Amino acid sequence: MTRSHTETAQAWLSGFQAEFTRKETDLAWLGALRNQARATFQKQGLPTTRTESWKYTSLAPLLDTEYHLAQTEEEAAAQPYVPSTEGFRIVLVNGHFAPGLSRLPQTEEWGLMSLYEASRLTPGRLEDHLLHPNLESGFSSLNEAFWEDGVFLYLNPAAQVKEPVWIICVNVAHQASISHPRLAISLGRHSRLALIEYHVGQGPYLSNIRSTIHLDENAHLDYLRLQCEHPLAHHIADIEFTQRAGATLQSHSFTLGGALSRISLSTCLSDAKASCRLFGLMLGQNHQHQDEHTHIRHAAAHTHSEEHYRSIQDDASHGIFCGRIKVEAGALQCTAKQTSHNLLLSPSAEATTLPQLEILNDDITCSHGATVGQLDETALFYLISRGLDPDEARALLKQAFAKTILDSIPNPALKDKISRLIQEKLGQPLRQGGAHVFFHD
Amino acid sequence: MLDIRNLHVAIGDKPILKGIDLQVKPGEVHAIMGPNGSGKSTLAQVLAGREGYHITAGEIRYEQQDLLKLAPEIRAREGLFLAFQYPVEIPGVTNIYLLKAALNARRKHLGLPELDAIDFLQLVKDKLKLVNMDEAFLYRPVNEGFSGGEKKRNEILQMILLEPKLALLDETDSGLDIDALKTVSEGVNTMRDPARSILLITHYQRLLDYIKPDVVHVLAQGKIIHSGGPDLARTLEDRGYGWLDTDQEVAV
Repeated sequence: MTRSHTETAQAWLSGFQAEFTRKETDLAWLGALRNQARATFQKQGLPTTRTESWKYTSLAPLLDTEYHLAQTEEEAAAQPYVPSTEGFRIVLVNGHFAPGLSRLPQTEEWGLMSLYEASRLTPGRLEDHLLHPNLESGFSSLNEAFWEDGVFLYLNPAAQVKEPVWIICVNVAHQASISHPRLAISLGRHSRLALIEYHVGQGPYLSNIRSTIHLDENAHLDYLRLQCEHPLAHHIADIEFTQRAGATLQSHSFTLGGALSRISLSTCLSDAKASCRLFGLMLGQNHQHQDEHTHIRHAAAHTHSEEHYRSIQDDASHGIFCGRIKVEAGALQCTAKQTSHNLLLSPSAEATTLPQLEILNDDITCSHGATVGQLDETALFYLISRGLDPDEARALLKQAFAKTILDSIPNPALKDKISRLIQEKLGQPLRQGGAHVFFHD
Repeated sequence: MLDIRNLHVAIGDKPILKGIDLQVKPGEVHAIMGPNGSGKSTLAQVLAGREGYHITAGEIRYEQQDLLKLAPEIRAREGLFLAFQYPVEIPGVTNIYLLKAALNARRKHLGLPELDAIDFLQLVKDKLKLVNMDEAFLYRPVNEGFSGGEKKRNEILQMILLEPKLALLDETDSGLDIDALKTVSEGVNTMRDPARSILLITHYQRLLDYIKPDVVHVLAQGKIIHSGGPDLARTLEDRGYGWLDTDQEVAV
């Protein structure tokens, strides 16, 4: 018997409230934020398919589950899931900071620390970032209300971080548990950063991530997220960028794992010459459900966006891409380009693609294109007629479909590793335990 | 080499080939000419193993094997090569990858060691010169953005590299300017060998100015209605296909 959304929301809220241990009694503003988020959740509840942006993602698989707030876990248990990476990184295990697995910088130029540490060390700076949250859905509110820990990453003006910084979220769940990693990232004027976010784990957990990432004037961010959650896990992410004048964002979203995945990624190009390029690749197998919503808001003149998402769905999986672009009335001479290409490998697989363009002035250049298709039989025969094994030829065409997205990864070493990971996934059934093997040299 | 007997082929319910008999011996070059819609390309596709064609009667023997029982990739590895009339563009797959995979599939099948990247590159560079292609072609996606002539030369490059026993060239001359036609023909001529057979499917006689066939066949309405020596091509060029009685039985 499935519980209603309202019953589940109530059960979760009272359960989490009882289990929640973090009490920032000395930070009144933070306590107030959490209280406000709880109240907002009370009103919002959990999103239903009657909500337009959740139309294609039913929470039915989650409703009967008694989720508990994820508890701390021995670092040793999480260690096998942590990739070997160079440079600085921060690891969250079940949403809690894992100092023994992290490598944090000691520098004046920029800072990387756990969110809880930040609330002790630089409360003023954190307050600026966290105040006035935009709580889009019940999940955002839950995260804001119940985050145990997270990441605070800031770059002072003109800071240049040479090596990519990794944020690694591991969940090790022995029972149905929910973690709420909260990422707060702020790039100062003319600063530059490459950030890699990696999600992995073991067991029936629900990872409910919320990120707010601010790019000040002329800052540049290369952002890459790799969702390799466990097949029993669910992944819900709300990522919100804001970009000031001249700020440039390049984002890559790879969605490979999890049973249910719902990612909402938005950016507001708030001042002239802010620009973004968003890339995405979804690979679905079995009964995986992968839903990605992007929202680009052109709020100023001379802002530019480009967006390319691709999806390969096999078996009985379902991939959804909803790309919303809004160009405000005053945002003259903007360019916006969007493509969404979908490849279906099985008669039971499904792809839904929804370009949503809302354009409130005439002085812009905008284009979009969406396709849903199957493997090209003529190309397949051409390859086979050259002696290639049919399975190899099929894998080759699938990889070729993914290649445009992979080729746009700026970091060559990372491009190589992710390409191998994708190759593996397209050639073989879903592996247990994620992609960490590929990052262990 | 190739022995086709009473081959009947239909697409859906529509008969296309209505009793083809054709024997090609090792070392021979045969040309199949005929008007549009006569079934020339269907024959090429059936030989290469394309799905969607129903063999309603007849048989094809290739090197003493039942060709129709072999999967298309096995036919290729056994030395049958089809140069496509419309070479397929494959974005995301580089030419060099396809060439190396194809050659190594064939070598493996023949019990030969697979070539590593260095040996392969040396080999393919030598072959590139024969078709007047730049090395940069190797690193471009298969046929993507190639001109008509480049696509056809790329087919010939694949053929030269794979050293097939039986090469089928489906309208390889169509859409070529005279220089490209010469390059392609030279490429084909370097392949002439007592142990290799070539089947040229063409609409025009001009290819046969450069590649001299041993036998010319006329295919019309799904049947070979006439066969003759190389002079037949010239006669067809001068007089068209009209003088041939298409109801007449095959005269070999």
